[in-house]
Amino acid sequence: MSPDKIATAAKLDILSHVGLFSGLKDIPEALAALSNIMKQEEFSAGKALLTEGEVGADFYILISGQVSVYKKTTESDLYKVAILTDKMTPGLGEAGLIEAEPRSATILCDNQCQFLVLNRESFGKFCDQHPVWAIPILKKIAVQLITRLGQSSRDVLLLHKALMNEIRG
Amino acid sequence: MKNPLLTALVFIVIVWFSTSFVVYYYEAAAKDHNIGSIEDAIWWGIVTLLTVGYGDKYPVTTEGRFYAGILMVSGVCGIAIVTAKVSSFFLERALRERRGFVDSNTLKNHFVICGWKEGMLNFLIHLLDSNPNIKDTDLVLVNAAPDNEIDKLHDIPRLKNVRVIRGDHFMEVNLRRCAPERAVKVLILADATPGPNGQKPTITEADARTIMTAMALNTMARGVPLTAEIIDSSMDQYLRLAHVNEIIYSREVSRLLLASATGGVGIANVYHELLSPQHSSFVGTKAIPKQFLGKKYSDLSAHFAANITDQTLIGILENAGNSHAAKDAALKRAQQTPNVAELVKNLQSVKALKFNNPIFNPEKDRVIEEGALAIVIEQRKEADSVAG
Repeated sequence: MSPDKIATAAKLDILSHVGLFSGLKDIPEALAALSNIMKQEEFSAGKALLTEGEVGADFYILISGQVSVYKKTTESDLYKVAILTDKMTPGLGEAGLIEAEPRSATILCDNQCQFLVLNRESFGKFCDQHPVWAIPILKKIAVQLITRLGQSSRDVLLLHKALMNEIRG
Repeated sequence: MKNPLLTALVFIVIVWFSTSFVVYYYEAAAKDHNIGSIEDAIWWGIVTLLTVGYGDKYPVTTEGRFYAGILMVSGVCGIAIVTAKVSSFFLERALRERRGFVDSNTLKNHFVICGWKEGMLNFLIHLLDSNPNIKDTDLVLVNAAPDNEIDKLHDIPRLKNVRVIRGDHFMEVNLRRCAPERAVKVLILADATPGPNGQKPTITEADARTIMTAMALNTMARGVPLTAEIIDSSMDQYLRLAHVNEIIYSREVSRLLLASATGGVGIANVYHELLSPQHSSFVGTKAIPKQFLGKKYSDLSAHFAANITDQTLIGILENAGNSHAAKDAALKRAQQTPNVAELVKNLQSVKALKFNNPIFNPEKDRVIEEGALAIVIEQRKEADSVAG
């Protein structure tokens, strides 16, 4: 598919709104360098962008359309967690930029969607060429991971307490 | 050999031929013999063996007569065994048919009723009256009631095809014979069959039988809807442990009926009318159309008032039906959240769920959850009451 290319200026504007790149929003050269290594892709409704449990290496920024985020229960029932629209310019699958880890959720396109796609390899090259610009991005990812880890610890504690209460009766 | 009939037949044939040959050996050598050939000897053998005794051939030597005696005695015994086996086979089959012998391999989608109580025959007729979709061929009873009671049951034309498994229903062996895992429903009655000492069971004994049966069925036929009658309502916790879906408190119901009839005017008549299949209106549960799940009770009552003329909505039955299935469904719903705090809360609420929980005239904005049924007062159609 060959989506209509969006103007470079518009592309930079979008990138400056992406949470992951917020540390670079005042450095137009950095955003320009990023936009050069990002491909534009288009998918039709129903396409699974990420699949929970499957390994992926791409980071997506939704620039038009709408996607839904799903998770699986322990009994493999799929349920909807959130709906994301292009207005939020959400970044999807940033963990894939660092390491080939299984995805933590499934994301399906609800309609015709356009994305800016960054893959791990190009991002690695970008980091090698511009380490100064890479630091704010990696920091952002680290902060996200710390937040998530904190939440996980609290969840484990909660489950622990619930289990204790259950056993105590 | 396994088959005694075949054993007896083989024995007879061996004795017949061997004696015939021995007798021929001695007779043929005698001076004025009349058994002169093998054919003569075998013919004489069968005539003697079957105690026919034409007398056209007979042994004349001492040895021949001695062996003839052996043949006669073993013939009488052998024929007696064969006759007894054949007649008992036919007798047994006739008896089994009379008593409703059940081949458990063929049972499927049947309705099992465990135990026997006074007024059982009337109860069965009422059961068929109130549930037009149940036929007498669907009913399988398991009980140790006296034979003459079962004969009475089969003498009633409407109950002629009810099948009966003989034996105590609280014994696992007898329960297995009614194939409860393939049944649509199992009902355990407060059993009043006299015990081995000939005395009627006490209330505690009857309830203990019900609880034992429920526990056995819970492991044997997990997921099949189980209804149990209990006399002493304080024992119901054991039935809940055995995942009984519906508990019938028969003593408490009649006591409450008496008590409320004393208070209000005519209330006993109201209850009787609502329960009795002979009357035109009765209480029942109906499935709620899918589009009302998650909506408010007031939406459902508006739907009933506007569209359904022969049913009046009086409440909802929450988490209805089989508690295994309802629990599984509730668990599935409870897990559908990424938030662990919410997940824990949901799972705890599943644990506290009350199954088959009736709510009469609920507040208008009560949300109708999945698994609920509508409680209605239904007008029986003319055609149905004639058929019943």
